[in-house]
Amino acid sequence: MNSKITGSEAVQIEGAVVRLASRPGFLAHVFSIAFAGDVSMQRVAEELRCPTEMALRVSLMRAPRIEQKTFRNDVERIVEETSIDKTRFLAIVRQAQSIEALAQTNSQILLAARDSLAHSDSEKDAP
Amino acid sequence: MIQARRVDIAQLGPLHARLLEGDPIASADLIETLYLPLTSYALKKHHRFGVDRDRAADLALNVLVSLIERPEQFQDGRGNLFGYLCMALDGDAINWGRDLRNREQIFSMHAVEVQEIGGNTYEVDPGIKMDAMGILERNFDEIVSDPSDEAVLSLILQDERDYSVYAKALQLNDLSVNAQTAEIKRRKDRIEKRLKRLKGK
Repeated sequence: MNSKITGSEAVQIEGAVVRLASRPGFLAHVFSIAFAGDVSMQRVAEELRCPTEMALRVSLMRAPRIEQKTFRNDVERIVEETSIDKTRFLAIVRQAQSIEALAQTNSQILLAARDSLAHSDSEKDAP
Repeated sequence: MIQARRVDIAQLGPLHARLLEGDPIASADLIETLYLPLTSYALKKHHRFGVDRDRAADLALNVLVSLIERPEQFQDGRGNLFGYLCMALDGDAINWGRDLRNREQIFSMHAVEVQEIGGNTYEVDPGIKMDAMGILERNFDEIVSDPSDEAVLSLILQDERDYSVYAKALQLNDLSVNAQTAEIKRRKDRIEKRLKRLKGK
């Protein structure tokens, strides 16, 4: 099934991409991480070097599943459907994965620091 | 105005089958096909209960994401997929309305206090819009213990639900999404606990 999105519909569906940016599992989320929160179709199209209509469609797709075999199959399927450059696409996905992994590590350190502050605060809030 | 083309029910069965197979393209096809019709449906059916265009879009996307993440929740042969999603959306809209009323109950006492102090004709009703600044001024020290609390309280009073807005206000963008969610929930719970305690005074 190929996209039949027209100009006015595309503008409205772009709102869905913005909402999906905070949903892990969607490429909109992957792009949000890789492009520092900028999921505008211009930015995604520029990074993927594809038309904005295709950037919109790609953003609505599921991110490749992380298991090795399914990852490869999913990437092939997405590239085949969209004709985007496989190397560029893979680089973006890998970049997002690295940033997220780093953020996980950082967040554990930050949360540990915040826990000690929260502990004193919850004592203050105790009824 | 939301423009939505007519839904072709016949194409939804195969689309659902592709979701079940884990086809990464299927989510794009589903959203392109149903996001606008569902948004339009939500707006038409629930507008008089306070669902605006933004909320309608949230409701539409939520039911679609839920189906994409768990496609087995719909069993083919038990009605059509669009009807099923409309029903799920109705349920979410009702829950949203219930949450809104609960929140209004928590804040209603403060609204009355604002009215008495201001001497205006403010009335407590389901469509109440809270005087956020009034609440902040009256109980600031009891509710807000650090600068980020003020941002959280302000967003709660604006009925903001989008965690990405909270994350931005709290400058939590350096955390992973899961850590952001946990941190925002902790901060919201803390504020709501203080508000409930103030209500009891």
